[in-house]
Amino acid sequence: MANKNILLIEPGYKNKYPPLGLMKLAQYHGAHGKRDKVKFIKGEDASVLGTAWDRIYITTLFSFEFARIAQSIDFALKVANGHADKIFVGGIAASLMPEKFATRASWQGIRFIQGLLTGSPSRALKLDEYSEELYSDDHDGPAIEDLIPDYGILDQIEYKYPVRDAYFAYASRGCIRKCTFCGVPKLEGNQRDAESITSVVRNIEALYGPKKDLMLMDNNVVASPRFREIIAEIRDLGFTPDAKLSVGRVPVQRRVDFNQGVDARILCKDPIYLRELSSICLKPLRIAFDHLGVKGPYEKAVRYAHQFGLLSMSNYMLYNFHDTPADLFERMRLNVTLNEELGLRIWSFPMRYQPTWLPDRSHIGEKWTRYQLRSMQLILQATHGVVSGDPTFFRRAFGDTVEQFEDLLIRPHHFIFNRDWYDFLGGKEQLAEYKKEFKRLSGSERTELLGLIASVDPSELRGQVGLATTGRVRSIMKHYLPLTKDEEAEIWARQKAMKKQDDPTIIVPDDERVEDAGLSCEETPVSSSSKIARKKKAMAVA
Amino acid sequence: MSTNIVAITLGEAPWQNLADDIVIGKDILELLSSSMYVDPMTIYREYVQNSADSIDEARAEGMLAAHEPGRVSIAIDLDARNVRITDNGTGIPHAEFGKRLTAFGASKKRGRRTRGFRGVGRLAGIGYCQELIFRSRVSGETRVSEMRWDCRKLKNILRSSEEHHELREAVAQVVELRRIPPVNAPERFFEVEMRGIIRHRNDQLLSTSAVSNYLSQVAPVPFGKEFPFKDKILKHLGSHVRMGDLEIVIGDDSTPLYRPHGASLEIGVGVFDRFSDIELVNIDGIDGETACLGWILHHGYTGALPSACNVRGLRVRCGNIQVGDDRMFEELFPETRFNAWSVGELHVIDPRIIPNGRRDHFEQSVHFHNLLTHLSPIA
Repeated sequence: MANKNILLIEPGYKNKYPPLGLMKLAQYHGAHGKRDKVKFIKGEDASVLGTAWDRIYITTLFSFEFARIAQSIDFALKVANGHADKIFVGGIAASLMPEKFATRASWQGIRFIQGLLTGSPSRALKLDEYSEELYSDDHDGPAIEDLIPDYGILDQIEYKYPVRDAYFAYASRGCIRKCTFCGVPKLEGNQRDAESITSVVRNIEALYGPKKDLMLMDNNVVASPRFREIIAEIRDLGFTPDAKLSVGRVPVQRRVDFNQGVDARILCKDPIYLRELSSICLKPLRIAFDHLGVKGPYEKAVRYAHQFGLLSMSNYMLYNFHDTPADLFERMRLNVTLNEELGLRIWSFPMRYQPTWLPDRSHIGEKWTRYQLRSMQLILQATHGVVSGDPTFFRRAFGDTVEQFEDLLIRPHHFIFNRDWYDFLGGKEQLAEYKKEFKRLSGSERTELLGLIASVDPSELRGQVGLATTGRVRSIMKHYLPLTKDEEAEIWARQKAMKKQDDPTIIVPDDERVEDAGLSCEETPVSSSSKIARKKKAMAVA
Repeated sequence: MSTNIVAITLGEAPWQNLADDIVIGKDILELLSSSMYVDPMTIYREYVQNSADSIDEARAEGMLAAHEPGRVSIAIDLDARNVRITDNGTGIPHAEFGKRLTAFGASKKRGRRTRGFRGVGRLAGIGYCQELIFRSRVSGETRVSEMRWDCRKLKNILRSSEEHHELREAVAQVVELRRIPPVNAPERFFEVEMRGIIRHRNDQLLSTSAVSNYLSQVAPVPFGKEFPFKDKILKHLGSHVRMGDLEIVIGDDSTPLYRPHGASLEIGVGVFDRFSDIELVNIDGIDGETACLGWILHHGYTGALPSACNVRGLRVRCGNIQVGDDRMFEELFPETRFNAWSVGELHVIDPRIIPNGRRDHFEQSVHFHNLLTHLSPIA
């Protein structure tokens, strides 16, 4: 029953990795499978409207992109001319908050698939043989999850995934831990071994040619009882230090990336883990540093890494969970200290926690305020999401002490957004005046100030001034009133003339960045009652 | 070249009855099930109609007290893709259970002013599920009677070109019967369960909101308290119409369904109009007796009403169950689109005006045509 029209849709959000689930579905339907005609689009591409699609698959990624996902599902319904039974939605967000999808009346009849496409295709896709649905009799075919991703479909779209020249594979699935901030326990369950990565790599190579990198999406590879065998397998595949791939004239350095990070609590137990990891071309080493409670294991792991010559690290730092701003600062500061002491290159990538079950980014941790989160976002925008290990640049961006960092987080946002103007140019006097007034505030006045600025949108700050209970708070509130458009324009013009003070040691390739640090997202209005959504460890799998 | 037409000339002979048995082929089943109910939602109407008749009968025979509501519970299991429709009507005693539920077009209801009378409505689910199950129990029975129609098997039989040409054989192949001890079953009930509902476009059969919307328009449920013209309408219809007034509940929602008419109607997103007046309608039949009673609600007439307001159009009901859809009479309007501006309902009283088998229109007759004639000036 070949030649059916199959449409694959990835919503139009920005993401780092290609949609593996859709690529596997493309393999299932494509030239090596059912020999259907497979079309892949990203976002709403009106050119597909004129075709009668026999089936439409939509993948989903971050929960907080629900609005964008909804747009794609509505579009698919239009494309399918209302035939919801032709539409299948899977992936991470659909698995993490299925009720959000299933309860929308206009989506009735769409099949929302939770988890991986394991088992027979007919079963995994909930196909109804009685209704004689397309391929509903495929009870014996291999699981779609186990198919080789079809890299060919990536050429059908203009969007370029930051990571694409790579073998995507798993050496293990699931995780031994049950961290409440993480979607993995719900998505993948307990830790277990996956199929041999060698066969995956060899099969991808046979069909789509050699790939430069090896992207392993294990959630906790060091917890695998087969850890040493996995590393040996990676070595045998040729991913040893200094391995190069020669496709064109210039051989390029290959790299292995366990892109979800490795577990400091295991790494610290025995140097063997980092010794093993140093025997492959791992770049960067990513160690999760989720809260200050794991400081000991984390520091020990970093020292082991140093001992075995693993000097480049990009470490995730969860914040806005149960941590305080001080906790985050201490963690960032520790990296600066270790950088200095050991001569490493540790970049910290703070990742703002969003619960996995909420459809937007509005979550505020119990020890953070909305105002502080926005401040943090503004600081990270200036540093492109990366925390430098260089003390000078770190100090300028985040302050030298916890107190300075906390003060920075309450500073008027236009002071943070236009740091150069207020630090070095025409805003110097105002900043000095603000600092003087701030210094005079008592502890309770600072708390009051934070309460006043954190509870409203910027446009409503003027109304807050009158609510201040002391003259000092009322006075300092004037600094928080947003700039006029003219003032902003002038500041931006003057700042532009000044050379940007980026840390020259930081040139982060896109493929090493955090997949979505939320740096460019709009602020959620205070009036929104909804909260968050975020999967810490995200890869596009169906 | 020319063709000569030769006239056939025949002699005379007396008529005789057929000597052979009459063949009733299996294909009849298809005609009576999937072919009859093209719109899947109509299967809810058919089963609710049966419930309404059974509840009326239970009331007439004193099984249901005057204060006790005639209840229809609809349970939709989206994951299992099952639907159960249960009523507290008369139920069917085991002695009649098998025979009545496998009879074709031999309803004992014809001529008894019931809503259904052709004896085929119970087959409505066959085309839309993989297994159709009927259960019932009447007071005094210690066990529940259960009948299963294996629609998968039936589908194969209907497709096969060789076996089971006879309707009787085909039914015998797919229907099974048993009696089971009740674990938690009412003393008196009738239940239809459709298992493995097939996927149909946007799966409306399993959508609680779609089923609620549909039944609130079509089924014999009462007007809501907030509808200001409720009492006037009930007074006008008087004893001529068996209102049914079923208490239909869907799923866990304890609020029963009401007709969709309220004090106002939403004519656009967030834009409301209100009903200003009511016009009562009375149409006589050809012998001068009342053929039809009805009412028209007046409002601001700012344009065509949206379908989502659920009250659009001049509609018609028989036994307080809607016949056809909201466009039944649009041809009578000076311009068909004006039907969508109106809100009104007619109740057919004359038993000679008969809904067709699909209940999407009426049988063509002088009585129905008389109704149309008198309706034209109103439209």
